[in-house]
Amino acid sequence: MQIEIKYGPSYALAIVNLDENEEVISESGAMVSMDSHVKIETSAGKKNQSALGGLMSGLKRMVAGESFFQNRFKAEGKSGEVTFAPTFVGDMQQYEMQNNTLLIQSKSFVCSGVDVDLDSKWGGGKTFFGGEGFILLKASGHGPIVFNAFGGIRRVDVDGSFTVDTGHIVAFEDTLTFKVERFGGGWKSFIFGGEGLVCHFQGKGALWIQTRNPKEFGQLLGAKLPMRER
Amino acid sequence: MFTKQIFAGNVHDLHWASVPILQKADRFSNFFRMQIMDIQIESKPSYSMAVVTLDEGESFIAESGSMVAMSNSFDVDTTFNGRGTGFFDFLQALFVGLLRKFLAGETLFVNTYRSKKKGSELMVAPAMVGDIVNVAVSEDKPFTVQATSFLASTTGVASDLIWGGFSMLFAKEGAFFLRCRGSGDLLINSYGAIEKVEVDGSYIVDSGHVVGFQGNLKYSIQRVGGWKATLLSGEGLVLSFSGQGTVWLQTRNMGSLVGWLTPMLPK
Repeated sequence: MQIEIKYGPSYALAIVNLDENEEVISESGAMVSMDSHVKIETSAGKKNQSALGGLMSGLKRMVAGESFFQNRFKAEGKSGEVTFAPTFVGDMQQYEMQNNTLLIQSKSFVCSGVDVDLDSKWGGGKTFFGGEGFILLKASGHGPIVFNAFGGIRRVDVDGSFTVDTGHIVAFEDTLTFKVERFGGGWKSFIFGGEGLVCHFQGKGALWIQTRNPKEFGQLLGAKLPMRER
Repeated sequence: MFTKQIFAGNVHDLHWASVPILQKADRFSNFFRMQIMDIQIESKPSYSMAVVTLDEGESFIAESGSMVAMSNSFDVDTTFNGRGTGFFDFLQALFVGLLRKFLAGETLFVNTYRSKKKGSELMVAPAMVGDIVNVAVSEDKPFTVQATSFLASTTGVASDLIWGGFSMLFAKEGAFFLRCRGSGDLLINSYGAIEKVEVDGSYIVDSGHVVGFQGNLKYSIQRVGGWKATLLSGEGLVLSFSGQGTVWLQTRNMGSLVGWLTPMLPK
């Protein structure tokens, strides 16, 4: 499988070239175009999973903020092309998994190879009270995975400790441990509105951040829009 | 100070290599450090983010809420931007802060990040899509920035709050300006790209497109179109500049975006 990402950072498009009978899994709704001989199969679970197992897999993904169903694209008989794009304007990043684990912010998953397992993971108890969704998708196994950002993506190689606003996290290697906390300079920032929640990372590993915060953007614009009538 | 914009990457080290004598001159180093603080702007122009690298003891000021990520080697303090020191100033700050929050959903509070370690990194970005531009402020060249366009500055820059006038309240944007004095770098942000216009004589900019201005310029707020347009739509207010100086404007207008989006929303 070869993946090329074009038109970054504003309107990135992932072009996936599949070998004969090779498959790629995507977030439902992410497909932009494909060769006509590429077959699409929609399911909640894995290929050889039982119905109940499939249901559970789908529900767990929903908890993680992804869609219940996933699409599998298979290039039948000969090699073929599928292209993917996320909803948000912004960049995409490809990562090659080598039997390690990557944690991805729930809305950032685009597509992955069939040997990458996806599962959900809680970001921590505090997120529940903070209201800022920080549920993670846990990817493990080997093969390529593509994730997207709102705005540009910057890779940070952490060695020691590092702090990121929760709304700016895209993905990180699980060699990093994390803790979600309220950030700020004491009572003043608490009263007058500050950074909200941040994630403190510890350890050694790669981390990807996005240059815009979807929630902040939504609130900025949303506050200026009229009330929704019921 | 300007050369750092041209090089990418380790400009900071480059400067130090070229001025080794200054490393030993502690008395002057703080001054020069401020001048050469490494500020890189990435993902231009749509989703710009500023990446600032600080030495031990250096500080940087950024709008509250703009922090994207940072090294764990900063002390953070929250203060009012455009503050005085007395009790009265504090009350005024509180009042204006609440007023702004109520009227425009903005906060005028800033965080000061003080680095405890050499090479500490701080990344800041605005909430809106658009660009960030680094402008130089000096004693003889203060910069007046529309309050929502203030993103960050070096600590040598001090800000005074200026009331833009009652009529500006109708424009929703630009009811407040910050007059940035002192010397150092100032990061301003925009919705869309930022265009720089040299003014000699007079020039008119839509109130929703003004980012800031510098130099010997006076402005007055005027209406284009009738009162009806002004009152009903919030559009139609312009800033009429006269004198000599530079005006920075943004290529998109948030008021217009909201105006276009509103009727599209489901009932």
